[in-house]
Amino acid sequence: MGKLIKYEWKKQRTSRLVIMAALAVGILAFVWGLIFDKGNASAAGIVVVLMFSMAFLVLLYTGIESILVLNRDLRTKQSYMLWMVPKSIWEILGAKFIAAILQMFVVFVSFIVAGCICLGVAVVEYGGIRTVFEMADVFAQKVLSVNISWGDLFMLCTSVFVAWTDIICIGFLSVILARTVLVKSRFAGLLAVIIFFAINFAVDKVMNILYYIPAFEDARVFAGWNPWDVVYYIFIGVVLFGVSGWVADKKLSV
Amino acid sequence: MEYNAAAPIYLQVINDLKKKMVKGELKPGEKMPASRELAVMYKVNQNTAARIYREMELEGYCFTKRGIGTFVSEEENMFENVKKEMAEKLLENFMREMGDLGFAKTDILSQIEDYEEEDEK
Amino acid sequence: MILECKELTKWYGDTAAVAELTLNLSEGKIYGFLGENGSGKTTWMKMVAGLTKPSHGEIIYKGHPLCYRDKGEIAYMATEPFFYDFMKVGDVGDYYADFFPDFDRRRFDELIGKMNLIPGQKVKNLSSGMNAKLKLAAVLSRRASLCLLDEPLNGIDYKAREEIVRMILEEADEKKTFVISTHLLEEIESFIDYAVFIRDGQLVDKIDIESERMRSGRSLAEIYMDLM
Repeated sequence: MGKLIKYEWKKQRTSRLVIMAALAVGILAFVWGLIFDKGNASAAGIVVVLMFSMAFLVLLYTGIESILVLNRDLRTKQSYMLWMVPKSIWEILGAKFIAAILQMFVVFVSFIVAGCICLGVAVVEYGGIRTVFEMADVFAQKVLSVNISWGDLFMLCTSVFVAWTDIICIGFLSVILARTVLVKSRFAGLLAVIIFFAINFAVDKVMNILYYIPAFEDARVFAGWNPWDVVYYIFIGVVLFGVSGWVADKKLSV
Repeated sequence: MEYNAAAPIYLQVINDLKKKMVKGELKPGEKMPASRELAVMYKVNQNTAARIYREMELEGYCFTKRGIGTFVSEEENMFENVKKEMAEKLLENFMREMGDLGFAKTDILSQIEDYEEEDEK
Repeated sequence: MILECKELTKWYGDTAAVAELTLNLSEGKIYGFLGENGSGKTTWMKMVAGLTKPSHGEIIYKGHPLCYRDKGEIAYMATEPFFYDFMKVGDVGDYYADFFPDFDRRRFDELIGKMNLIPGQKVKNLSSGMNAKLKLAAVLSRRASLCLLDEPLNGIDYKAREEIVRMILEEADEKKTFVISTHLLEEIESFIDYAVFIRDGQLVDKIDIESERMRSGRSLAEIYMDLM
């Protein structure tokens, strides 16, 4: 399994390098501002907010890319490399899943940690955390026209992360289903996208319905961050993974 | 080696090996190539290689020392016989083919007299 | 019997790439797979390699239904290049060493040396001939029980073809079975045990060609013309 993960990790190396380079640029901009543009605290705030929002963007991109990698691993001749190894379908899909999560986690955490460090430095430099938050809030209100509730940020990150692992599972299943039905057709990609949105829609619908079943009524009272969401997403993830493996094992040809 | 695609490969290889024995390229008592080497050398498979040695052993051209390998027979006069045999066979074929073309023995003999070897080395 | 295929069938849409193909392969033999392009040779190999799932029928390997573990003993070499773009020649050896217990790294290094491949070369920059050699070096360095080579001599110059046949014969022994598909009848006719003729996904005949040469004095090309 470790070896499979190693090669999955290598497949996304290029984009990981680009993402990390972008982060480096962000940090450099922050440092540059610190040294040469001392009076301008709001610039520092902008960089920090950018880092936090970029964290979600790269999470999104890395996740989607791992789905695209699976698609490539089914469509091209290079698929033989993966499917000729004497490993069970569960190990192969498991490795892909873990590698995807790991990569999303690494880029996401890198941005968040960098953001926090920059924030910390800014606090020391500009005296008082309040000023920095205010600067960031002002920026956020101006640019994104939302209010940042810093306490919810962590919870938001967690639930986004869990929801994203589900998106990965849905992506995997869509690609596998599309490639099983249409094999090498040009339309398999399009079909995968359609299946992807269909399953997504179904997952959301089922969740909504569940919350209106009397037994689950209580679950609805949580505002914003809801632990039941996480439980539901994890359950769905396991089901999707199981179906993906089963279909691939029975039907999938490369 | 160039094969005649219509004749059994193993016989053609045996023939070639016998020639080598006659010419002294394979000397009495000398170790013959291992069957894998033989296979690579003559572009044949393992089964053919094994068959070649089996047949040659049966006819007394070589013998196998268990676990060591196959060796060329040590009976010197056998090679003379091989040489004679092969020559007889060639001659037989030649005479038959010439006979088919309508040549009598005397015609053939005079033709051989006049024959100039193309490539004197 | 190392491999038994019973009524093996693969549908692509409404055409059968392989149709009700029943064929047994014995251990330690070399089989030449002969047939036109698109006759189902590649599909058959991919099914035996476990890459493609049969629509119908059975594949029995060493007495049990084919499963993923058998991929550790069955080596398949596709016609087209299939190594990852990010790999260098040496990485291919690492990859095989990582996944195949039957892989002999020293043999691989020896073979790529013989073929003038350099471990630091990028796979995607190799010429097609060089890539074909690399594929063979990787696959033949596996001491696989069943080795499936799809068109190993295609697009390769004469000298390298001789080298490749040599590599195959160096590996072939009474324990290993080879299946080689090709159009180059003359290249393989001296060393294959059986010629397997396939047309429209169906088995036309399986012929012991040495016996056939003894019986009817027909060359492989003549048999091909008579059958197909």
